[in-house]
Amino acid sequence: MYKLSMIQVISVFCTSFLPLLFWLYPRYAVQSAGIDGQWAVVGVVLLGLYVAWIHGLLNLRFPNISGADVPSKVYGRFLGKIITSMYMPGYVLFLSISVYSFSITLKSFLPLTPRLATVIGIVLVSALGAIYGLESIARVASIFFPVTLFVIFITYGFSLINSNLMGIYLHPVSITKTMYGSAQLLPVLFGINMFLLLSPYYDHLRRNSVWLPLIGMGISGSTLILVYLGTAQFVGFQGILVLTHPTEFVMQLVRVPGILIERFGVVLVILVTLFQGVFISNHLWGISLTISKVFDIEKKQKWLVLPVATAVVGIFIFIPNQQVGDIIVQRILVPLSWLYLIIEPTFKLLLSYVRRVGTAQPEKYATRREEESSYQRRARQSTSRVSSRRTKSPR
Amino acid sequence: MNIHLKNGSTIVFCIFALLGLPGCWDYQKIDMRSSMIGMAVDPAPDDPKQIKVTFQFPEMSQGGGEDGPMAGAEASSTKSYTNLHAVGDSLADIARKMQLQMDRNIDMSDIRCIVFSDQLSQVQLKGITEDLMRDTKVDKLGFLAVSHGTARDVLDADVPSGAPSDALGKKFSINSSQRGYSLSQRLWEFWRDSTRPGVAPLIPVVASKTADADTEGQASGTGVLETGGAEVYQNYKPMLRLSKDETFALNLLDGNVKNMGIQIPLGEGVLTLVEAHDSSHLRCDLSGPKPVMEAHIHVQAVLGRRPSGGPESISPAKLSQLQKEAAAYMQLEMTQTFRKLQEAGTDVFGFSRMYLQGHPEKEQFVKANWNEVFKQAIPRITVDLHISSKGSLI
Repeated sequence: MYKLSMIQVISVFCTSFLPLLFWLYPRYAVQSAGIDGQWAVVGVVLLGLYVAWIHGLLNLRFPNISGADVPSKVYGRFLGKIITSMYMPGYVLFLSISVYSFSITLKSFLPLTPRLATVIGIVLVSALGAIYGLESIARVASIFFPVTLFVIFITYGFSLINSNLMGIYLHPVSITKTMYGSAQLLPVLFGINMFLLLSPYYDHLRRNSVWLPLIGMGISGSTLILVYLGTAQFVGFQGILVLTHPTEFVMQLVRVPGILIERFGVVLVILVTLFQGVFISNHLWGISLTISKVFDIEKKQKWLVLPVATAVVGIFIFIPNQQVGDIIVQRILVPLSWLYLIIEPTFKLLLSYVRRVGTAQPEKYATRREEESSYQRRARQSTSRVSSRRTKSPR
Repeated sequence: MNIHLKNGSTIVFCIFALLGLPGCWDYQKIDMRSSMIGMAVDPAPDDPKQIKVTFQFPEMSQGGGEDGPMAGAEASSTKSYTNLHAVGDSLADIARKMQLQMDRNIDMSDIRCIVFSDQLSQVQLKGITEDLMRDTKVDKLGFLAVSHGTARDVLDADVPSGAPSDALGKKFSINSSQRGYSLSQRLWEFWRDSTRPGVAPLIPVVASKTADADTEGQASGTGVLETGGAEVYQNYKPMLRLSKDETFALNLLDGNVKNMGIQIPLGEGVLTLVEAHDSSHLRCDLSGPKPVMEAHIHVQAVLGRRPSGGPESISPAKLSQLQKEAAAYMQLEMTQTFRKLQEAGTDVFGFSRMYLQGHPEKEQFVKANWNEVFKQAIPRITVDLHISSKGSLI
């Protein structure tokens, strides 16, 4: 089986969430937390670290099997399959909304192109990636993710350095409002569950299952905070409220002097498409893999990508406007994100501890200290062998 | 699947995907687009709800007129631009009417300058600004200017450098790094400042000199576009006009003066400072019985000409005396400008933002009462002038 490198794991992990709300989350933050929007974003990043840690612990406990098989081990075969299937509709809806958000972003650059054409184009390319499998996705992600990250950091870092930082408030006004804002922003982390599916595809060494998602979340969380602060600094939190896609708006205004590309719009189109393409590919692969595990048709996994992609485009067609998209996110995806990202994984992990279920071998649980001690043991054995040889050598 | 079939189908797919590269449905031939570089907005003469908008297009074929952006319009053979007018309720309405006069598509993605008339009502200015912000095809980085009377006159000016809107765009982009008697404001910045509680945005004033100087002047390149002064707005309503000197004082207060020459009348003569740069530190304190707004300005300049004239070097004591007197003069100018702004209750400096940064819980208070707070505030302006040369040796 193809094993991902550490960079590839982080890249696939990071490109499997964020795009749902990336272009609009500053508006959601201000809508739900008002002037405390920046603290709501910090709150959701802290929640993200918790979610990443929980998923890391799950992978540490179940290193050899796919995340889609874990519920069967923990809850029992029948209940496990039902719980795994529970993820399907939410994820297809989530993907449709993300695709919708992408289509709206591109519509501002290509006003005469029907959104359906843009969406079919990107879903076709992503489906091809998903059919090729995780190896292709991971290779592409490990190239695109650093590029996207670099451009975002340059853009927003530049805007923050050149500003007087007066759009950053020194303390929160209301803790309850901030917490409410963070809770409403949780769908920005939708997709972290993908990390469970990666479990069999990388080498589990030295608790890397725990720190890899934490590093990924740290990078993505810093991006989230930086982008929010940059946006708030540029247009003010009152301005964010009336912008449909605040992130995209600010990116178009920032022109980094001295860099060849004066018109940032073109770069933005390329960037959005790259990021979104990898993201959709990740999830088409993930959803089709999970369906194949539920119905025990793993050999047909790659062909399941096509019906899943069709379902995503099908749901996308029925979203008439941004307001309906917002309502779906706030009424359906917010509660679902709490269920998928926090409640169910935490319960699953606790139950696995209680039931003492886990697929890891005792030595795979080895902590660094234990590994060192085993290394020292081997070293001691080898030195004793050498010394015994030395004692024999005079002969 | 057969490996050859797989590779073949991938190549076919990639070739098919290449078809999307020209921009799908949005492909437009370059000669089918007409780039709008300037825009002037006036109130409509008959209907108070409508606006009259002038669009300026560059004339690519000098002296031809046949290849102009419009069919049978007033394309002059001597001018490098063409102006078209339309009256309507909104930007979309006007663009639609304008399109009827043209044989190419209007491209608004490269607007250099938008000139507003100061006669526009609050509703008209708010409406057109929001329309411009809402339209994704409009360049939000275009510069704004306000004209006393008719904005269209500015775009009709016969400036030697070509199209007036292009000349204004260049002028304001120079001003971005070298501010003095004028300032620059981009479309999105004006909109952004209008959404901020307690902040009063500014638009630089521009005037066309052709009409006053020589009404008969039909020869190309006789006109002048003069920028200087600023109009202060609040909620899209013009509140106050600042003169050139007041705008300079405002720029000093804001720390925006760079590489400027300053004339300071001292006694009988005039002190000239060159290459003046300034930085400012603004602070707002509402803890006392009366709000205090502090501004500490640090100005650095080179001595140009002394009040008494003469090229010889001067003593350090005399230089120090000059510094004190010049700083006192600047302080007086700035305080007068500050008081004028206070009378109108227009905080153009963004003291409200400074206060809000440390007290975000006072958001509603700032929204409701900031104008009054600003009016009652005690200004404390201190100037620290440093002249970096001791004399005007040639």
